[in-house]
Amino acid sequence: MSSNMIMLKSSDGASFEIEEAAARKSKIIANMIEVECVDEDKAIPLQNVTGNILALVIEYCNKHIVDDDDDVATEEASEEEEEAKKKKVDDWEAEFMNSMSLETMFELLLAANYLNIKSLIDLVCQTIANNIKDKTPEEVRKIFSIENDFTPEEEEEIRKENAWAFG
Amino acid sequence: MGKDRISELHDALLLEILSLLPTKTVIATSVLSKRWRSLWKMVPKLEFEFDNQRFAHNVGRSLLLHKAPVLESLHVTGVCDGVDVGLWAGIAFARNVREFVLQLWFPFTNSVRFPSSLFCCDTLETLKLKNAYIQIYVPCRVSMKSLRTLHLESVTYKDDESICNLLSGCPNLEDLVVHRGYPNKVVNFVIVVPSLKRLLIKDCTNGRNGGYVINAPCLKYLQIESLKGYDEFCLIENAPELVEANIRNVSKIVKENILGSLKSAKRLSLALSPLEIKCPSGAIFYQLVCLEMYTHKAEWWNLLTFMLDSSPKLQVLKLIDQKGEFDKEFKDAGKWNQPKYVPECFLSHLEIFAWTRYDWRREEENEVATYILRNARLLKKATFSTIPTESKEKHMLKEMNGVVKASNSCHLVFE
Repeated sequence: MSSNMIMLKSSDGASFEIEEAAARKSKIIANMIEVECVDEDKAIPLQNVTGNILALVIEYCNKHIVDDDDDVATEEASEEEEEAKKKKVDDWEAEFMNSMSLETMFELLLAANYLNIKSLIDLVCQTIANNIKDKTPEEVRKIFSIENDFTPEEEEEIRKENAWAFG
Repeated sequence: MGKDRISELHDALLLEILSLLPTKTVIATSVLSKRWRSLWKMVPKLEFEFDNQRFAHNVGRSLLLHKAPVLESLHVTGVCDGVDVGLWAGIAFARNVREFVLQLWFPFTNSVRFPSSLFCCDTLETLKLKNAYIQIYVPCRVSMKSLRTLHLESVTYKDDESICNLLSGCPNLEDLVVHRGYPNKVVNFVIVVPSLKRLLIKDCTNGRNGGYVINAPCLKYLQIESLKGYDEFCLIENAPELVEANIRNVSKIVKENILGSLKSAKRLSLALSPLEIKCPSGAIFYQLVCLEMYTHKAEWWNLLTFMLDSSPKLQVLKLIDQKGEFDKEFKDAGKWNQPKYVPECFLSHLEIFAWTRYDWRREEENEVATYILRNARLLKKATFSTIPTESKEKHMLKEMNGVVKASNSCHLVFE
C-alpha cells in the first residue's frame, strides 16, 4: 500500500484498519494525527462508537476518499464526466442509507457527529428530513415513534396558532 | 412501538435536520410533542413557498415569531406587496442574515424598490433576486463587505450610477450573475470588481446604444449569452486569470474584440458566427487546451479555422450540432476556407476530436472532418455521432474509415 494505514478501536473492542486519507474525513481523527502523532502500532480508541457503526463509518469514508483530489482533477475533466461521477456517488449514498434501519441511522448520526464528519452528518440529516417531508404530523409521529404528550386542547391550540402550516 | 430516537437528539442536530425542510413543514412539527413545540423558532434557515392568498401575511407573522439570533438563510418565493419586502428585509437585517433569496411577483404594482437597508448589511454573503419586479436604486455608496454572491435576475435599475454604487460597495464579490430584460434604463453597464471570479451575463434587451465595460482582473469563469446589438461596445479589459469562457449567441458587436479578451482561457465554448463577431487578427490562445464549438451558426467553420490557427496547444476539439439540420442559422452556406498551413496544434497537441450530430450530407462538414483526420498527427480518438442513426448514414460514416489519417494510432468511433 502506498498510503499510511492507521488503526481504530471501537467501544466494544473491535479493531479496524483504515487508510489515513480516509480517516482524515473525521476532523477529530485528523486532529489526533496532527497533534498527538498517532503511534503506528497503537489503535485510536473511539469510546462512543460501537463496532458495527464504526464499520459503516469506515465504509463511507473509504468511498469518499477521492473527493479531496477533485480540485486537481477538474482542470481536465469535462462536465459530463463530473456529472457521471457525482451521480455515481449519489447512487452509492442512496443505496448506503437505504440499507440501514432508522435505529442504525440515528447511531450513525451520533457517531458522525462525535467524529465530526460534516458530509456524513449532512447525508444522514437529509435522509431523516426526507422521512419528515410531505408527511402529516400523525405520520411523522408513527415513523419515529414520537409520543404525543399534548392534551387534545393543547394540540388544538397549537394548530390554530399556525393554521396555515397544517393546510 | 419502537424507541423515540429522534426526540433524544440534542437541539443542534435536530435544528440541522429541520434546516433541510420547507418552513411550512418545520412549523407543523411544533404539534408533534412538547419537545418540538418551539424548536421551529430556532431553525436558522427559513424557506417559504407560495401556497395561498394569505402567503405574505403568514411569512411576516412567522418571521416575527421566529427567534434565531442569526438567520443563515431566508428564501421567499411567492406573491406579495412592496411593503412585505420591506418588512422581511428589515427582520432579515436585524437577524444578521447571511443568505437572502427572493423570487417574487407583485400583482398590484410593477416596480418595487429594493429596501436600501440591506445594501449596508455587513453579514450578507449571498443575495439573489430572481424574476422580481424589483428596482435597484442606489443613490450613494453602500457597504456589503461580506457579499460574495450576487445574482440579479430580471431586476431593473434606476440608472447607471445605481449599478456602479452597488458593485463598488462589494469589495469581496466573487460570483455575479446579471440577467437583463425590460424595462431597461441602463445605458452603460459597468462592472469593475477586482475580486470577481465568476461572471454570467444574459442580456435580452437587444442593445440599442451603450454597452458593457467589464474590468475584473481575477476573473476565472466568464459566460456571456444572448448579447445582441451593442453597437457601441462590450469591452472586457484584461483577464489574465481566465480559465474558462462560454460565449453564446453574441452578435453584432463588430467593433469590439470579445474573443481577443479571452486569450488566457484554457477552455472555450463558442456558439458564434464569424460574420457577426470580430476575429482578432494576430491573437494567440497560448493556454487553450479544450475548444468546443456549436455548428448551427452561419459560417462557423471559418471561425474554427481561425481558432485552430490561433491555438497552438489545443488538445481537445469538440463540435456540437445542438439543434439538428432544420435549425441551422444558414441555408446557402459560404465556402470553407481551410487553413493555409496545417495548424500547429495538429502537429503537436490535438489528441481528441469529437463531433456530436455530425451531418455527413453537408459538404463543408465533410471537408472539415476529412481535413482534421488527414492532418492531425497525434490524434488518438475521433468520435462521430449522428442522430438519428440510419444504416445509410452508418455507411457514409464508414467511408471516413477510408480517409488517409495523419495519425496511425487514431481510434475512430461511430455512435
